[in-house]
Amino acid sequence: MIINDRRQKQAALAYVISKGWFPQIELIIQPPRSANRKPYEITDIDVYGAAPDELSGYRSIVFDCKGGRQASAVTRAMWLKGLMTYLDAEWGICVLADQKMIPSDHREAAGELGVSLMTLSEFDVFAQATDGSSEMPISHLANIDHWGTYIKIGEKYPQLQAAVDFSRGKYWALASGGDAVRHSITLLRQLRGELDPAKREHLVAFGDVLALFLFGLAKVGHRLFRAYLQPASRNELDAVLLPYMYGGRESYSLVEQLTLLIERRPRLHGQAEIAFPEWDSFLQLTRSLLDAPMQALAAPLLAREVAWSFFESSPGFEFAQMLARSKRQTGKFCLQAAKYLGTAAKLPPEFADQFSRIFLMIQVPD
Amino acid sequence: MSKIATDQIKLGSAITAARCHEVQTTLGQRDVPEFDQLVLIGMAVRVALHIRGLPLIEYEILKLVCNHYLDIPSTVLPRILALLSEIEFVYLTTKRKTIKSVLPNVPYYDDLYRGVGDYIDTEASFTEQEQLALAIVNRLAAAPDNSDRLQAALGADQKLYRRNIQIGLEGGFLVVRRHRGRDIIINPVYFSENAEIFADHVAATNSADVAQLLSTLKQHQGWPLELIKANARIDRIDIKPDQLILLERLAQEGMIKPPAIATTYSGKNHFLFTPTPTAANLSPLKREIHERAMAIVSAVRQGQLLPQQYSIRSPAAVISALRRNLRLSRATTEFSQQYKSLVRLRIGQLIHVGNDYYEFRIIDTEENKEALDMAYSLVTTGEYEGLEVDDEARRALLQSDPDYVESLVAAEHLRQRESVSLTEEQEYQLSNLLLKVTS
Repeated sequence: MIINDRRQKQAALAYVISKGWFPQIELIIQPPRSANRKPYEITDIDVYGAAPDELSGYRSIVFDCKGGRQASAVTRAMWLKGLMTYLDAEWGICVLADQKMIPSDHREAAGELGVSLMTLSEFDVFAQATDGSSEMPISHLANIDHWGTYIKIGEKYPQLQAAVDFSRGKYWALASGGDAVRHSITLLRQLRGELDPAKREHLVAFGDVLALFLFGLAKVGHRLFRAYLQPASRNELDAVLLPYMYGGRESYSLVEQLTLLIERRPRLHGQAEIAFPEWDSFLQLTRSLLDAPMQALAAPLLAREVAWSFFESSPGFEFAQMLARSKRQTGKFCLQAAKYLGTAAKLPPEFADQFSRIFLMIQVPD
Repeated sequence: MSKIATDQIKLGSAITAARCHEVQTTLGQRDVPEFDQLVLIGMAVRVALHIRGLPLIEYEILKLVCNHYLDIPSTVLPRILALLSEIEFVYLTTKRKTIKSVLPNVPYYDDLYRGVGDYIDTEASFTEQEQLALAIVNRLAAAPDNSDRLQAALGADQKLYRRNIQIGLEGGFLVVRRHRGRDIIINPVYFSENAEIFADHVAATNSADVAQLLSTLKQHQGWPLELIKANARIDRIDIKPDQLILLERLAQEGMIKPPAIATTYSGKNHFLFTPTPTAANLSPLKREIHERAMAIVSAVRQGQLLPQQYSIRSPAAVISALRRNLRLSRATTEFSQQYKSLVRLRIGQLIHVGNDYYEFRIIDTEENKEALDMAYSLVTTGEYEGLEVDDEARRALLQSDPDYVESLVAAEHLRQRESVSLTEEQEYQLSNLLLKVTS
C-alpha cells in the first residue's frame, strides 16, 4: 500500500505533477483480455505519469519506488522493463532508498533497457536538473494522503468501490481513447442512483471519472485533429467521430448490426441509431477540443486537481489557477466536459454546477 | 394571424436568427427606432460568431472589441450577454452586478443559429415592422424581386411596406435599382456583385427563375459555362433559355467576372459561382482568399468535367488531399494547363519532373490553407463559411491585456482618421494630382 515506500512515492508523484503530467498512483495492471470471470491482477505500478506530447498524444513514464535493501537494483530494472513493454511506456525510473548502493554496471545495464536507477537523494538532483521539482507544489493532487483516502473510499461508501477499481485498474487496460470515454460515461450512469452531491467523497469520485473521461477524449481529439484538423461541417465530424468512439469502423459496424438485431426493425438506409448519450452535446464538446487539441491534453490534470480539492473543507486553488491560466482553454474544456457528463449520466445537477463554478473561477485573473 | 406572421413561422427560427444578423451587420451603428429585438438578436449572433472557440475573455476587452470592430455599443453589451448567458452560449463571472469576464460556450456549425432560434421561439416577439423586414430580406436572399410583386406576395399593408423599404434603404440592408420601368429591390448581402445584371434580368423575366437557377448553381459551384451551354443543363438539371442568358451576361458583362481557364484541349472556359455574400465587414484579405478559393474549385472542376486524359472523380477528395498533403500524389501532362491560374495567384507551384509531366504543390501559407478550406466547403455544401467573422477582432479578443487591446484599437482609429481627415489644401493638391494622372 501507499504507506510502504512512501517517501519515494511522494517524491515521484510531486515530480510528475510539477511536470504537468497526468498522474496515477498504485495502478493495478490487469490483462486487457482476461480469461477469468474476475480479471486477474498481474501486478501494480507505484506511480505512473502520462506526459502530454504534441506528436503522439501522451507518452507514458513509470516509476518503481522501493525502500528496502533486498532486491538488486538491476533486477528491479528488468522487472520494470517488462511493465514498460506491457504499457508501451518509453521511460522507467526506479527510485531506491538512499542506503541502497547501486553498482555502476547495474546503472549501465538498466540504461540499456531505458530505465534510470537512482536513490531518493539522487532523484532530487534529477528533478531539479530536469525542470521538475520533487518538492511538493501547492497541489491537492500531489498530497499523497489524499490518494490514500481515495483508495479507501470504498470502506466508507461501498457503492463507490466500483469507481475506485475502475480508476486504478480496469480503465488502464482499455485499448483506445474511445473505449475510455464510453466506459467512463457508463460507470457514472451505473452509479447514478448512488452518487450524492452533498458528500465530499462523492464529488471527488465524480471529478475523478471526469478526469479519466477527459484523458480518453483528449486522445480521441488529438487523433482526430491529426487526421482531419477541424472538420468543416457537422456531418463530416459526425461521420468520423462515431466510429472513433467504438474503436474503428469494424467495431462500429458490429455495434450497429447488433443494435439492428435487438431492435428488430429496419431503419432508413439500414442504419441503426446508436444510443450514444447526448450525442449532439458530445459532438460539440469534441469540436470544442479541436480548437486547441494540445491544450486539451492538459485538461485531465486540471480536472483531477479540482476533484482532489474536495477532500478539503476550504481548499485553495493556486495550482489549478496556475494550470488554467497557463493553458487558457483547459478550464473551459473541463467545464464543458463536466456539464456534458452530468447530463449524459443524468446526475443531480449539483455535481456539474459545483465543478463548473470552480472551473470558471480559476480562469478569472485576480 | 397576418400573412407576415405566417411567413415568419415558415422562415424557421434558425434562419430568422441568421437574417437578424445580416440586417444588423449592414445597419452597423445606425439606429432604427422601430427595431429592437431584431437588432439585439443580430448583435447576439455577431458576438457569438466572434467569440466561438475562444478562452475566457475579460469583459473590458470584449467591450472594447465589440465597440470598435463589431459596431456594438458598450451600453447594449450587457443585454446581449444576458441573452447569450440565458441560452448557455456564455458563462459569466460577476462581481455584484458588474460582469468581470465571459467564458464562451458557443456551439459549432449551424447549432449556433439553432440555439438562438430556440430563444426566438420561446422568448422573442418581433414587432410588425421587424417581421416584415425579416420576411423581405429572406425572400430577397434567394433573388432580387420587383417591388410591387414583392409587396403582393407578402400581402403587406402599403404604408407599412413603404416605411419598411425606406428603413431598408437608409439602413443599407436593401437597395433599389430601376430597370425597364420597374423598381427592383435587392438584398445587397447576397447581390452586391453584378447587381445591375441581376436587377435587369429580374425586371425582364421573373425572380423565381433566378432563385431556382442560383439554387441549382449553389449545388454545383464552379460548373463550366460552356458545358452548361452545350447541354442546356447543370449536371442533370435542365436550364431554361432565359436562365442561360443570365449566366452568359454574368460571364460577359459582369463587373466581377467568373474565373476562366484556357487549355489547348478544351478551349477557354468560365467557371460559374453564386454571388459572394458580402457581410459588411468582409475585409480585403477575406475577399482575396475567396477569389483564391474560387480559382482552386475552377481548376479542380476543369479536371473533373473537361479533362484531356486524367479525370478527377471526386473534387472534394482532391481538395482535401491538397489541404492535408499540400501536394498531389502524381504528376501528369495536364497539370501545367489545369493549375496555371493557381500559380499566377501564388497558390501553388508547378514542378517540372520530366517530359511534359508536372507536379502541383501548394505554397504553404495560412491564406492558401484557408482558401483550400473555403474551396472544400464550396464543393461540398456550396456555401462559404467564416466570411462573417472579422479575424482582427478575434485576434484582439485573444489578448489578455486590456492595455494592449486599447492600443490596437487606438492605432486603428488613428489609421481611419488619417484616411479621411484631409485639410483643404491637401484636398486641393490631391485633386491636382488626380487631374494629372487622368489627363
